[in-house]
Amino acid sequence: MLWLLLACNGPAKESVDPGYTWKLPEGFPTPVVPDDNPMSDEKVELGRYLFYDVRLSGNQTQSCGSCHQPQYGFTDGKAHAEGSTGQIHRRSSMSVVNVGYFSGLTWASNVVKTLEAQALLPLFGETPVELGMAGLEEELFVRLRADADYPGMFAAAFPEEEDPINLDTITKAIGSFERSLISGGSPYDQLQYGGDPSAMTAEARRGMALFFSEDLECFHCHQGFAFTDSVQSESTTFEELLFHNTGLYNVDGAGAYPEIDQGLYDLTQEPSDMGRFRAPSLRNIAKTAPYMHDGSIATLDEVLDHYAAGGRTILEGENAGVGSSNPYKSEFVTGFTLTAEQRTDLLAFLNALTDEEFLTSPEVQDPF
Amino acid sequence: MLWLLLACTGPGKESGDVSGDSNSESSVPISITFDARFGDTSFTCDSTVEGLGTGNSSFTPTDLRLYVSAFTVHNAAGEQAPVSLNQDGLWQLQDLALLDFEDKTGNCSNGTSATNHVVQGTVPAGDWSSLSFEVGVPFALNHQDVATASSPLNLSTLFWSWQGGYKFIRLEGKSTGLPTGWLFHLGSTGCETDGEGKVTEACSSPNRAHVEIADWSPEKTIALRLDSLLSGADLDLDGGGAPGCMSAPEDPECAALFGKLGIPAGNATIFEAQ
Repeated sequence: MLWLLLACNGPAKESVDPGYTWKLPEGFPTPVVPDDNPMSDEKVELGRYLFYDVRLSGNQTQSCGSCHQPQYGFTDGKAHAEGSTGQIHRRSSMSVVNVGYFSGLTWASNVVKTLEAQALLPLFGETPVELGMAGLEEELFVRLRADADYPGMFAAAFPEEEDPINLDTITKAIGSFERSLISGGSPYDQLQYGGDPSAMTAEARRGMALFFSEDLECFHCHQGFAFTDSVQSESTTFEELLFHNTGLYNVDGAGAYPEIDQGLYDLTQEPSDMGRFRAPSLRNIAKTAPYMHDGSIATLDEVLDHYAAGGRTILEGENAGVGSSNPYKSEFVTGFTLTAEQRTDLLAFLNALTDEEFLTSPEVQDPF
Repeated sequence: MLWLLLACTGPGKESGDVSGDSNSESSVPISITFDARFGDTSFTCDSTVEGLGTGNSSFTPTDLRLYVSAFTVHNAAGEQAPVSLNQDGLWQLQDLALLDFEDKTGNCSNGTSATNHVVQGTVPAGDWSSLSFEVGVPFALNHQDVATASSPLNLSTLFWSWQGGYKFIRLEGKSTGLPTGWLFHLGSTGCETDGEGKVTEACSSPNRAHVEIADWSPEKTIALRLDSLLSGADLDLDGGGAPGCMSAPEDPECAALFGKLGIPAGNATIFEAQ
């Protein structure tokens, strides 16, 4: 009877990951793991294969890794993601580095909060088509069952499943791999947590002081080890999931963002959610250009222009407007002035958030 | 022990049969047949329909599926009884059924070959003269883990993952003005989830449609009048939001469609017993 009860509720918290050893950098807490998907080396490895396998797209041309490539900080380097059938996404691919720590997923959703649920969006979404698997799930299972290695890998990862190749196990394995993508070895970490003052240049150290200053206010939204304010870990007691309007647009003078993407408002229809997006982590930010939810800012230098102005002004075209006077704008986007030297320092700091060792590590690369 | 197992998997087949028990001697089988039509023409995957909506549009349908639930029969005395649906492991689950009018041929390429126009179950014997039901997936079923959901909630083309639920209606087609597609996806919006991704309370816009059909008997076919549903919309024009309606309250096309469905308050007027 006790056994049955455990089967209902999932394993108890302390035994969630029997046999799995997190490789946590100094200063990093243990990520939250769903009760029904404990971590294991077998799942992580299976998830890595699935993440990079083009058989997970309808026409077998794209994988998760097509839009989340290590060399671009697990983005694709494009302003707008392009799906397997050529449709262009309204949004820019987000990094999946440290994604196991984020309390919300995608650029703006108060609904999609687990990696297992998020995987369904690119797999089956049709507006736009991303991987293009809608209606093809049985064919996906057939493809994977026919592989020489997958049946054994699934059986090893999900020993309790009679028929282990199914949608539930696919999303769980991918989620486990993504949770294992933990990056905390940047020059910033070597200085901050490793105590090595030589890890960062003098410029970058001055930039760090600016970044964490009340003058610039960057750190309010890009805070802590994850450099975002929507973070969770095993020790989290209250959900913190926040969305901010940064004054990127103001197309009608009343705060509207372009109709194609109005952020959290698209889900909630709450006026105050207009243009609100989740603050992305800044780790490896130098690798993930172009920037913002729609890739509309090409360089980090121009990102500083946007925040220095307290919001972007667009002079011409259908998106013209003065973002700085957007009534829904975050109170922390008030603008600032930078000397040329300060700007150089700040950019040096942002570049010091790149973890080359992680991004080139064999265990996160495409196995195919 | 059996009880514990049931508690794990949520309401099972047994729990839906509080009344209208299929094992009861007084219950009788019932089949509720639907026909989706544009005027006198039934929905097919190889036709183009003329003269629809405010723009007198030419419309080539490409998909039509809808979830229906909570079937209830009523008599003249005001008594009512739920229809206990056969748990066929395919089209019907608890008090939910999927109506599927596309067969993946011709212009329809998104769905499944199988079709289903008939809801089957049992009701207590009686002189039932009217019928009510809902268009939509009940809340308790709408926000489960789709990766492990049972048929008919395991169809990825009806997942509505960005809203954390299912598409209650998927009606799609192409028009002269919108050759890449005019799409209607009805579903719950304004849902919120807790830290574990579970929807914890009702969504701000449930968007389930209530249907009451008076002067009904089981021999009659229920016509889903698509021409009526579309009568207030211009199928050649995208007036804003998605081309068609993806249940955004401010999408101008949604207002016309929601009105016919009696959303948010009222009854749908697009179903007729014939």
